[in-house]
Amino acid sequence: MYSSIFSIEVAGRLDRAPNLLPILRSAITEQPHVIGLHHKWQLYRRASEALLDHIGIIERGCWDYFDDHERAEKDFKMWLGGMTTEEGARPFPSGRPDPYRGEPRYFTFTMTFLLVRPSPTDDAMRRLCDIPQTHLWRRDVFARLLSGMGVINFASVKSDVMYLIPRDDDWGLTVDDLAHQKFHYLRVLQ
Amino acid sequence: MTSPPGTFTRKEVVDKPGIIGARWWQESVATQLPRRQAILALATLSGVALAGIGVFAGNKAARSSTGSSDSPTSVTFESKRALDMQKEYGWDFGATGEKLVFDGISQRPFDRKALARMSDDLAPSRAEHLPYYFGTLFESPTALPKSTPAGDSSAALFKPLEEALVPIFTGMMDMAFKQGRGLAAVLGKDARRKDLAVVVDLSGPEAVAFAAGASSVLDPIFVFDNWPHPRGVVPAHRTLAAAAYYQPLFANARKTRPKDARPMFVLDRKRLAPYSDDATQFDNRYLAKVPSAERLAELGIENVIYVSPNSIAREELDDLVDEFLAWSQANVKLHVLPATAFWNENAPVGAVDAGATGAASTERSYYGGSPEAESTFWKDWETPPSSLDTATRLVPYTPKPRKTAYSSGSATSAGALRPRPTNFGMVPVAVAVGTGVVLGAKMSRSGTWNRTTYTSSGS
Repeated sequence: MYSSIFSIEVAGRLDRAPNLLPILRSAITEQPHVIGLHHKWQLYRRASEALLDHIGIIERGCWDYFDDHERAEKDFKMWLGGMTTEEGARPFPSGRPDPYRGEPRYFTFTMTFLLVRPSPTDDAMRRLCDIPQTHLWRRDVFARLLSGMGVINFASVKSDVMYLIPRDDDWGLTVDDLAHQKFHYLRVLQ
Repeated sequence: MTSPPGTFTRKEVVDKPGIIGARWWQESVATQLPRRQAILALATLSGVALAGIGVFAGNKAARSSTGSSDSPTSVTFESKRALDMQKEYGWDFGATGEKLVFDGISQRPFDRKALARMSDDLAPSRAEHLPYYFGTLFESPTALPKSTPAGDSSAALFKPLEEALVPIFTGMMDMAFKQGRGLAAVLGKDARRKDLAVVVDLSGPEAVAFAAGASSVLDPIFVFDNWPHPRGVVPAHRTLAAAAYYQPLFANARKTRPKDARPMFVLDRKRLAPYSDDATQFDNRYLAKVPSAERLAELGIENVIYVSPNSIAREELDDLVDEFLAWSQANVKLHVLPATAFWNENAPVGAVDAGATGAASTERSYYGGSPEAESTFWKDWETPPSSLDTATRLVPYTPKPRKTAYSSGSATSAGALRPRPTNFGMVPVAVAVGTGVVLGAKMSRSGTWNRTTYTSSGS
C-alpha cells in the first residue's frame, strides 16, 4: 500500500475573526488520545467549515497534493516538522488583538493527511486538487479544497497532523512575523 | 500497545501559548506494507504471509462498520427534503458535474459578479411586502456546500452554480415583458389600482419577464422557493437565467417605482411539474406561498388579478385552490386576466426573434391590441364582458372547490398544512446504517452504495 499526501495551510486575520480561534483550537483539543474515524471526520469538518465561514479573512495559504509515494512520506515529515520544531510560533506574546486600533494579527492553521493509495479517498482528493496552474493560489480554490475535504474517509488515512498558531490570542503573528523568510511558502491569495 | 482497528492514536503533541497541534497515527492502516514489498515478502516467507493476509482481512472487516466510503457498508435509503440536501451538499447534489441546458442565451454583456446581489436586487421595495418574498432561487448561484456527502466521490468536483449560469432572453420572454408593460400602463394611470394585488402565474422565464415589464408600477414579490438541479423536474435554472438577464432592470426599478406600489406575487407555473422517477429526476417542486385573507386585508387588498398564461389555461393551479377559496370567502374580489389579453395589432409580422438580438424591446403590448382599445380594461373591470367575449379579457372569477393532490377543496385557515403528494419535494438519500451519515443522493452514479448491498428501503 502506497501513500499520497494532501496538505493545506492558511493564514488569516485573527483580529477580524475573534470567534474563529476557539473553534479551530477545539478541533484539536477535542480529539482524544484514541479517536474513531467518524469523530475525527466531524472535527475536521468543524475546522474546515469554520474556515469557509471566514474565507474572506484568509489572506495567504499553501496546499499540496502528491501521489508519489516517496515524496508523500518525505513531505509528510516536513509538514509535521512545522509543528514539532515550532519554527512558526512566536517565542513571546505579541499582545491581544485590537480590532479598532491595533496592528493586524494573524493565525495559521495547518491540516496534513498521509493517505492510502490507491483508495477512493485518494482518487477523490486527486480530482479535487486537479486545479489549473494559474488558479492555484486563488481564494475560491482554497474554498473548493476546504469544502471538498468532506470526501476524506479516515479509513484511508495513515496519519494526520493538525496544528494552530497561536493557541492563545495574545500570541498572534504580526505582519513582520509573516514577512519572515520561513513563511515565504505561504502565497498571497488572489 | 497497539490501538484497535479503525482508530487513530495521538503520537506527537505540542501545546504552548504560541502553537497547539498534534499528529495522529492509524496503526492498522499505516503499518501495512506497500503491495510491492508485500509480494516480495510472500515469495520468501509464504507461511508467515498467509497469517498476514488473515490479519489484513480482519482489519478490512472492522472498518466496514464505520459507514465509510472506502469499505463495504450497510446502507439504507431515506427521503430527505430536496432543498435541504442541496443547501447542505450543493445545488447539483447527486449529479455533480452534469450540465445545465440553456436555450436562448443572451449575447448582451453580463456582469457575473452581480449574481451575488441578485437576492437583494430582486427583493420587493416595500418593507411590508418582504415577509412574502421567497427569493430562495436567487440565493443559489453563489451558495457553497456546507459539507460533502461521505460516500460520493464525485461531490469533490463541485462548482458553484454561478460558474454555469448564463442569462437567457427568448422570444417568449420578450412577449411576456411587453405584456407586463401593458399591464403597468393601464394600472399606472388609474386610482383603482390602489386596492389591488396581482398574482402572475406563468412559466418561470415568462413570469420573470412579465414581472420585469410591470416592475415600474408594481412591486414584484417573487415566490421561487427552490433551487435548480441538473435533473430538476422544475427547470428552475431557466427561471434563474431569465432573472439574471433582467437583474439590472429590477435593481433600477426597485429604486424608482412609486412608494405605494401594489404587490405583484410572481409564481412559476411549472412548480408542480409532473414527477415520476427518482432515478432520473430530482424533485425540486414546491408549493406556492401567498398571503392569507387576513394578511391581504392588512395590506389593504380588496381585489386580486390573477394573470394566467392564455385563454385556455386560465384556472388557478391546484396548490392555489384553497387559498383562492379563502380569499373569496373573505370578500376579496378575484379577476382572471390572460397574459394574451395584451398584444399589439400593429406589431410587424415576422418580427426578428428577440433572443437573436439579445436586447429587450422598449415597445409594449396593449389590452385589446391597440392604444384605442386599452380603455376597455377599466370598462371590463366595472362591467364584465358577456360570456361570448371573454377569451382574452379581464373577467371576474369565482373559484370552485376542487379536491386535488394539492388542495382540500375548502377554504383553509392561515398556516394550515395543505395536502401534497407523498414525498413531494423530497429526494431519496443513501445513509450509512448505524452512524446515520449521509453518503449521497441515491441517484448518484458515483456513490459507493452502487457497489454495496443495502439493508432496507426507506424511500
